[in-house]
Amino acid sequence: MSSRPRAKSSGSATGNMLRDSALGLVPETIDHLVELGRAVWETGPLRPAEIEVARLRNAVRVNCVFCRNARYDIAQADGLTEPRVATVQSASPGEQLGRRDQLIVAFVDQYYDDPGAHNLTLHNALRATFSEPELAHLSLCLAYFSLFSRCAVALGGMPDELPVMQVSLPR
Amino acid sequence: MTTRLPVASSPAGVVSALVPEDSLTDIRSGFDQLQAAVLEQAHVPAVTLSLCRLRVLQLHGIEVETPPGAASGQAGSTGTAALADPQGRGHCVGNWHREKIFSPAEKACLQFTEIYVMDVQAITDDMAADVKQHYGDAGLVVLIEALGLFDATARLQRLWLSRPAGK
Repeated sequence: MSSRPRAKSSGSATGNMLRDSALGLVPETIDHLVELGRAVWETGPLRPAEIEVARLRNAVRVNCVFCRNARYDIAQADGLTEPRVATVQSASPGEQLGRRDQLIVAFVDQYYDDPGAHNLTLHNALRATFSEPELAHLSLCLAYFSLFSRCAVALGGMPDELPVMQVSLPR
Repeated sequence: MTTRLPVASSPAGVVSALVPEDSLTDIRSGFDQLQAAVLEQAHVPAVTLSLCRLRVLQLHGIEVETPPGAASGQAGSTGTAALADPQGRGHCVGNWHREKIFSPAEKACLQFTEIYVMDVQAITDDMAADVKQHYGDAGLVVLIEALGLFDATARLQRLWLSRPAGK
């Protein structure tokens, strides 16, 4: 992983971390990225704390230091605690988590480990626990977080460590 | 192993198999608009991105028919036209490093694509510099955004649209 940025930043100083990063170099796409992020967090049936569980597990799997150490304020307001985060980010979260969190973690792991394996046990458990709109929302959340965290890694400039940072949805 | 699947053009196309059209409309249209913007921007040719998409699908074991001049996206219409390979080189993309029909710029993007899919942490500064040499900093950002969409679509497609053998 490169600690040297591979693309220059946009040069803007809007205070929006996306617009001010290298992503801001492409004006044709940056508004869509920001709007999609808001839609993912604000317009689906999953609660913010559950969305954050998916985001944080994704961050661990991609090893995005920025993503791993960010905490969305709306998820914290929805009840996400640091002990819950620590469990989600552990190697084997297992039964320390509630059933829905366990399945969200398992879904993210399947996405990265072997998405084509057709894990019938997992599929059945997901369908028994989540509604179809919730599963569609979870899938699209993961697609967005995967896109975003892999983007951050591929663009370089990633430090080895960062403190935990509270963040808000970019406007 | 390669699997013949209905090929979705975006994450929104995959979830069409799960929920009705009027569900999650803001998120689905957000993905479609982002994908259309990525494919229509001015920094990297859409044909180059289409070749990279085909390589992503191959690396995920998804079989795609690419007749010359035909669009390769089917499920989900956004960006389908821009995903066409008008020069009919899609069938050669697995051997891009040995093929003379790909330009140095396309080869730089295809090399970046392969490592992105297999292990994004393994991308090197030299690979990124090679892409930037042809398409600049903005072009590198576009390629990475496009690969994020293509890779996520392929993974969701395998998760939700694949079936056990024999079914």
